Amino acid sequence: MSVTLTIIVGIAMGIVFGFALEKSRVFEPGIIVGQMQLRNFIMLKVFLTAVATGAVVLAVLNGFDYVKLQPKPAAYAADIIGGLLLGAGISLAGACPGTTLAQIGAGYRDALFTLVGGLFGAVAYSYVQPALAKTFLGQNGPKLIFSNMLGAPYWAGALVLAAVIVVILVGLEAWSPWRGEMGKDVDGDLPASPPARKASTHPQPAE
Amino acid sequence: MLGARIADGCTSGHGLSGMAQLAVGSTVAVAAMFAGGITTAMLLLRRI
Repeated sequence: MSVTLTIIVGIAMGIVFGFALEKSRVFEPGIIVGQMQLRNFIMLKVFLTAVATGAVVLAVLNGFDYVKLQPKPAAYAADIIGGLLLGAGISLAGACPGTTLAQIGAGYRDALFTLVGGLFGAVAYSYVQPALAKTFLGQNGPKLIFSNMLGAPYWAGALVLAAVIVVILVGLEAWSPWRGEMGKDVDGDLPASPPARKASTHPQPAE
Repeated sequence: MLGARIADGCTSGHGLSGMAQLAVGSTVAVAAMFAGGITTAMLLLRRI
């Protein structure tokens, strides 16, 4: 692919992703923080749906040899420590790296500061990276994928993953229907106390 | 973002791309993200 075509495809896919992210409401700070407080599960549901969809698409594309897989190396120490840090940041900011941009697009002005803070974090990493590379965090792992560990072809593993996720999603949805999790302003900001809950005309989550 | 760079990927990179590709490291990273996020929310954010 030429550079121009890559950029055009990138912009087009970015628009699709941003549109879907806005419509799914997962960019809302109330939904993200609510997920981390286990008050609503919209983010987990949309996330799992996206993983299942991606797995099916990749199973077809990779199964028919149109695309190659590019899994990240399994560097467990870095994955766990970086993941914990990122998770803490997501809770505090009410945004993850991708949703910050969607929040800016949707008009949340405070998300601009989240973006600036995130850029500072990324720059800070560049300064400490040479030091970290000498520690256990700099280790590079093998590009492991689950289906290879089990000796199965990727497409089979991906379809199994998608099927398992669908079962989990059906269970999650039965346990806590999405309509009750959106809140009055569809931003995940649920009524605080039980009396307010009764006064609301909207259906509430079964907790 | 410091965390995202240490882990070499964010919610989209590890979560969406990585897990769909059945990557072991990405699954570990996503579990850690949710663990870190939920712990922080429980410790620091008021439960309203």
